[in-house]
Amino acid sequence: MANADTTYTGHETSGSLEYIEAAERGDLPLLPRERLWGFWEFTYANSALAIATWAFLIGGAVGLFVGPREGIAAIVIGNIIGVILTALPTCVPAGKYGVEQFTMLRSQFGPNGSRLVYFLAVVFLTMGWLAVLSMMFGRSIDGLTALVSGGEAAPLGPKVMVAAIGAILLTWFIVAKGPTSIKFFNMVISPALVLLMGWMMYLILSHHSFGELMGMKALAPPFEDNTLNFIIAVEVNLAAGFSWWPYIGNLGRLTKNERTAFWPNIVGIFGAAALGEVVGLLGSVALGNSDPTIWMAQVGGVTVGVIALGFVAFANVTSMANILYTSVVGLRQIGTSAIRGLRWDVLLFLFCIVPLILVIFYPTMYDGFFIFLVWTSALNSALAGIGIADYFFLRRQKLDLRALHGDPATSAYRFAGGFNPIGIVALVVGFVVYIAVFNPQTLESAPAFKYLTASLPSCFAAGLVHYVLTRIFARGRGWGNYPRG
Amino acid sequence: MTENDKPWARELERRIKIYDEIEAQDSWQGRMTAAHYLGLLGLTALLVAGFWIWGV
Repeated sequence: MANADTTYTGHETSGSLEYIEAAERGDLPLLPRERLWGFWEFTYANSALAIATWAFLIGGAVGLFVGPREGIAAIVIGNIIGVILTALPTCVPAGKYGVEQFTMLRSQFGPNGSRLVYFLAVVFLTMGWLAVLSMMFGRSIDGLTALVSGGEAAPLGPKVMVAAIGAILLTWFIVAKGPTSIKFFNMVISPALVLLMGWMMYLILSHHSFGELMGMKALAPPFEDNTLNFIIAVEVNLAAGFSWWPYIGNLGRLTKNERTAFWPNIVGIFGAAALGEVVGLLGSVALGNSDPTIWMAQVGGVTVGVIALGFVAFANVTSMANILYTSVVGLRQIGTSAIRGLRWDVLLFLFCIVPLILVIFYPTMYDGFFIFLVWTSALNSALAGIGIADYFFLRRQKLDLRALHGDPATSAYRFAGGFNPIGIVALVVGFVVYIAVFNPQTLESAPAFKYLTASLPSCFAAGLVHYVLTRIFARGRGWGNYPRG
Repeated sequence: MTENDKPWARELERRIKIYDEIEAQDSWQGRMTAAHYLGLLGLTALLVAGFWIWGV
């Protein structure tokens, strides 16, 4: 049979259109013929997501620990491993079954466990990024006005705070209007960011030869041990790669099959993010400041600085709109009836309250944003490990769609009270292993960190615990409909 | 199940049966094969080893 979903009649009555829309929202599995993206469409879509202003920030953070040569190596090594370990348990099953990512997660954590993971992994991550990017908006505006007036930028001043609050409210307003306005910004901003990166690279290379750049030193290495500094830089990039975990599965389900769901991540997410980070790294080290809103003001004089900062400010709003929209759509999918009953604009505003509080009371979060990024990896790396163990090794790449979409009260994936205690224990073990190996807050590490990083042991430990405990306990209790033998 | 839920349940079942049919006939298009996973492993090893040697 050429294509098994040929039984689909194609008579798109209002009823079937309604179901197709429901499937696109994630309420039903998408059929292969309903999925829109081939290899290049998905590559463009996830490149557009990856080419964002946070790439400049992450590149700048890498420049604090190591020079450009080691930094480029850390960016490639950390991102390729992080992106692959993230895309395997999210995009491969999504490309096979067309199932929404947090619906699929019921097979690992149960319906209520899936909600818990959503709150831990998506809500907190998105709130943190909204705060950081709004502060970047504020600092861009502050830097821009300082350039025009000839004054000094004040990164912790009231102007930055007011502009950051304005950025969050503007994002709320745009997203409240619906997805059409976001699509428009994406179509313009992503290609323009590529041009900006090329322009910045040209300006940097016109002042320094490639050899000079590669010989430069790190801005503020925290330890005398260069290997330790390098591994921290790798860890920051592993965290960047793992930080796609909450987002890419739901993009992968729009692709035609497993291969088109997986491989474009290597070109798009890995390639585009690495490119942006390298520009951020070179700019920060060459101009002596890890903050892109500072070095962009210095790289090419007043006119270039004003254009670059003005553009970066509004590119931040686009990135913020993307993650806010995606997260709140997901929140309505997995949320209780009380959450789903809230008006769209009210729910969006409630989501923005924590970022607003962070902007007002914790403005220094921006300067240590990589600490927040690395904390998220303690969770995301464990989630990736559990996903790989569950989907590839325990379920042998087969999911029960009736259990995923059926009544949670009677579903084969109900586990115990809607939670899979084994998955939760594995998640906690992965988190604890991470913190035991590397403390993101203080950068203190166990001796093993220099050889293993922290994300990889966390990913492996969580996966191993999930696998072993499931083999021992889940079968006897009939939990989770795991295959026998 | 209410009367309103029945069409939804039928649509869900129709979609699941399509996937059951693909599974029964083992006709997954664009499946990741062992060769893909080996290629992925090779690519990762190449990038990690290559940039480690170059950068450190």
